[in-house]
Amino acid sequence: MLENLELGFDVLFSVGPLVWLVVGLIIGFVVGVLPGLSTSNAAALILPFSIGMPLESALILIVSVYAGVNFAGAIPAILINVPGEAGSAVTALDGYPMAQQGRASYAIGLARTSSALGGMLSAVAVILVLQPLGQLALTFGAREMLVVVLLGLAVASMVIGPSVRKGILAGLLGLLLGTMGASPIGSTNRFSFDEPSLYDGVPFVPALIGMFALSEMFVIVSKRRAAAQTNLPQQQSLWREMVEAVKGIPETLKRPVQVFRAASIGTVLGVIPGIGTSVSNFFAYGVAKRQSKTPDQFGKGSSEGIIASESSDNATSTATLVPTMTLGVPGSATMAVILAAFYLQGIQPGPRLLQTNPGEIYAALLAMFVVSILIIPLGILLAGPLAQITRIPQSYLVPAVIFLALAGSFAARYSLFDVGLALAFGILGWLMRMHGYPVIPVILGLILGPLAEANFLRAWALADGNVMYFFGSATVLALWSMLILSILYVVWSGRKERKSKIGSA
Amino acid sequence: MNMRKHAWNLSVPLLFIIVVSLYLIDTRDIRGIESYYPLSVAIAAAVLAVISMWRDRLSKTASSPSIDDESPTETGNLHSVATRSRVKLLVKNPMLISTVLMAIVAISIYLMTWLGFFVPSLIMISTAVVLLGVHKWWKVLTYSIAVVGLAYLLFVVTLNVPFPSGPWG
Repeated sequence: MLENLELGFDVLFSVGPLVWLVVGLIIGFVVGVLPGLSTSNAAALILPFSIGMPLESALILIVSVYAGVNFAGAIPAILINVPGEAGSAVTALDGYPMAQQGRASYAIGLARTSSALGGMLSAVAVILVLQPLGQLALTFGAREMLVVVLLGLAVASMVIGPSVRKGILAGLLGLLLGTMGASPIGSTNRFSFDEPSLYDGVPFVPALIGMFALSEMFVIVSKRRAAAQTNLPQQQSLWREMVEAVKGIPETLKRPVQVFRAASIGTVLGVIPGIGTSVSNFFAYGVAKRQSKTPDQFGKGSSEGIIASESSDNATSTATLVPTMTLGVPGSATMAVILAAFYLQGIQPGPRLLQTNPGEIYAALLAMFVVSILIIPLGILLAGPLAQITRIPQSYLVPAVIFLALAGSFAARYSLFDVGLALAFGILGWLMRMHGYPVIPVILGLILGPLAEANFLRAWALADGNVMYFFGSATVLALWSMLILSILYVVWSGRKERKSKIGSA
Repeated sequence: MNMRKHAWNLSVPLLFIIVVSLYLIDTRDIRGIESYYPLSVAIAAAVLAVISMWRDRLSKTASSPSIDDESPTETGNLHSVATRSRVKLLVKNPMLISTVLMAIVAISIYLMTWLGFFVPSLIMISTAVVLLGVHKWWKVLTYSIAVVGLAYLLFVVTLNVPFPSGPWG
């Protein structure tokens, strides 16, 4: 592990990657404060431009954007009650009431410090567990990998979105689209409608950009999300805001137990593919409320509420790197973009990744740690100007993002077909979102589908007609059990929720 | 519930069924082990899509199109200027705005094959900004030219991306 860490240090602490780290963080800050542009949208838009970069720079750029958006997402959540990214919805519960009491900068200071501490704690934990988990993943054969992929996709499909059925259907659509192009054995052309651009399958970049960025812009217009922008609190002078924000640092440091508890929850839940920051933040918030001496203050501007949500938020973001790097199963939508970055660089993600590219992987992890440290000073300097960005009217923002999305789709393969494909995915994503179907499982299915099919065919060949081969080892049985238990749990908890809703109606 | 809302509620599962059907037609000649995985996925998707059609038919979760919604919007404009009477219809109907926006993007992409990338983009940004409620021509023009100009500097000058230039190349 120490050797890999050293490699990671060497890769990260050179001029190029460090510059991209700061650039990524600033881009993340800017994007994060724009309501509607989520982490995955930003990462998807950045992806085409990372193609020409060395792998380490591309990875560092994307993870820095990821961390920056996650941090800055708290700013619109606090100022205008509109989360910049999904996880910040929990921060808004106490951040917005605090802003209404005239303490917006103080709330941002709390969010900034707890986010940084949560990220650092999680990065240390991930660095410690990555190697042993990577070793374990190396023992996985085709049948184990098949179940791991199914597990990741099933959990993600069931947890993301309001309905298990809709999530699974979206995941199946992704798997189906993932079979497009040449088949793994006979290279038979499937579902490509004789379009040469689809012979290699659905290109990731236009699919990601369409599903995330374009569909989000159409949804913003359809749902008139800009309304909340009119409720911005009165701005103070930049210096005053900075002083207020700094006061949040000692307040957070006075609560190490709360920070550690929320960061631990975020780290553990973040390792499970598909859980995401919204689930873990709510969980950490709930635990903090139960353990608090002043639970009645939660939801009314409690410092503890903000600390719990933000510590968990950044910890979850860092921990999602674990399944992505060890198994090649994306832990979140942004991790799906990171996996796409590997594919675009000609590298097959999976258990061997830690063997073949240890320097790049550890550099990305260390980047998450460094970014967490940089969040505090950069956040203090940029908090005031960033708050101004939330005032940009959506009528200007939406066309510019659509234009950037089209340009990014073209830049990946220099193909106008891809630009049209991005729009097609954008319309599909819009339609799905408007009906409560989550779009993330489609992208996960698209990325994991070829992996699932290749492992299925390999395992089938090894099974030699004996279906019991798929259940023939202790590891694979444990994985099947996890898959079945997680399905049963989600179905059971969904029914319980429905019953309680009916009961309360 | 009128037919239009009914169709809107069923649009996603119906679209999935169309995709699965197209897939099954296109891959009907694939036999043996190669067909097991894609066929299983397609059949599972078809079954779930049919169930979804049944479950979604009376769904109230979908944000239904307000094409025949006569109620005035509360804070619906994307820009304060958009409350002007000349865009009253669009402001009242954000679903219509988003549909027109998609059409503008589609037409721009089509035009890119003839006019290159940046001219249709300039037209797209200008019309989209107007559609979303900005009506001062100098603001629309300055903003559109600035965005396209910056993108040109970034993509073409800095990153050497060979965008189609059309008749101006």
